[in-house]
Amino acid sequence: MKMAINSKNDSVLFSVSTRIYSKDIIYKACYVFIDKMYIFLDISDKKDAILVTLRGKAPLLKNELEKLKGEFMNELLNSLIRENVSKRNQKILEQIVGGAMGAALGIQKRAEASEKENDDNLKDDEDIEAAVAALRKELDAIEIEDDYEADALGIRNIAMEETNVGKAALSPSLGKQNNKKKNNGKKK
Amino acid sequence: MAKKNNVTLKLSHALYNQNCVEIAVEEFSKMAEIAISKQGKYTEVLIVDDDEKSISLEFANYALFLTIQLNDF
Repeated sequence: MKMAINSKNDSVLFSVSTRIYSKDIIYKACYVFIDKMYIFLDISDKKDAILVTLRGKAPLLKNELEKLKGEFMNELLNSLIRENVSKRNQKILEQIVGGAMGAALGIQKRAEASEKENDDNLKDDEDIEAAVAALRKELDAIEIEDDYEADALGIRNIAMEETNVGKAALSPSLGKQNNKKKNNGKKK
Repeated sequence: MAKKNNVTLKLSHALYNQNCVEIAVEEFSKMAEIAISKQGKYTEVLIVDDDEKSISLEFANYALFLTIQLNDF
């Protein structure tokens, strides 16, 4: 791959084949580096190629410009591999996500293709709606205010009691005081 | 009198989205004088820049950035 380094402009120009790296892949690589350097793209006179010019935001030496290009090429390869893996795994991912969604709503697995499938589908749709409505009802029932001071569930009181019990166990005098308070309340 | 550095960028329609280029022109016209024209398969952007081409470089980056975002990878 030919490369032209312009020391005056601190830039490096090279060609990327779109037969290997699609435009989207080139864009992805550009996105990674766009805040670190100046990037300029152009269509090459050669068929199926894009000219990439990288320019540092600060003055760069020749070896630094070569390094810049190397990093960009690495990122191209990285993006290409990720895209290929993603395509290969797409169906599996869809199945996993679909299964997780189905499990969350409590839907039973649909029967494989049969004559009753339409009727079953209709029934399943009704089941889904009923399940969603039930979940919403539950959520409405347990919804509490965001203000923790309201303490709708009385958690603070429980915590305070437990703390006092703990303190009494450590300090007998405190325990006596608490008992005295209780007895004062019970005086005849 | 400061010498003005005129920079012409040729942005290919195949690589830089036209709407994105126009948005970039709108943003950068606050900082420099910019003229835009279409020349065949390219959009020519003339930037009258006092600085050492920094505005034109940032402009090109910004136009590319918007185009990539539009691609929405």
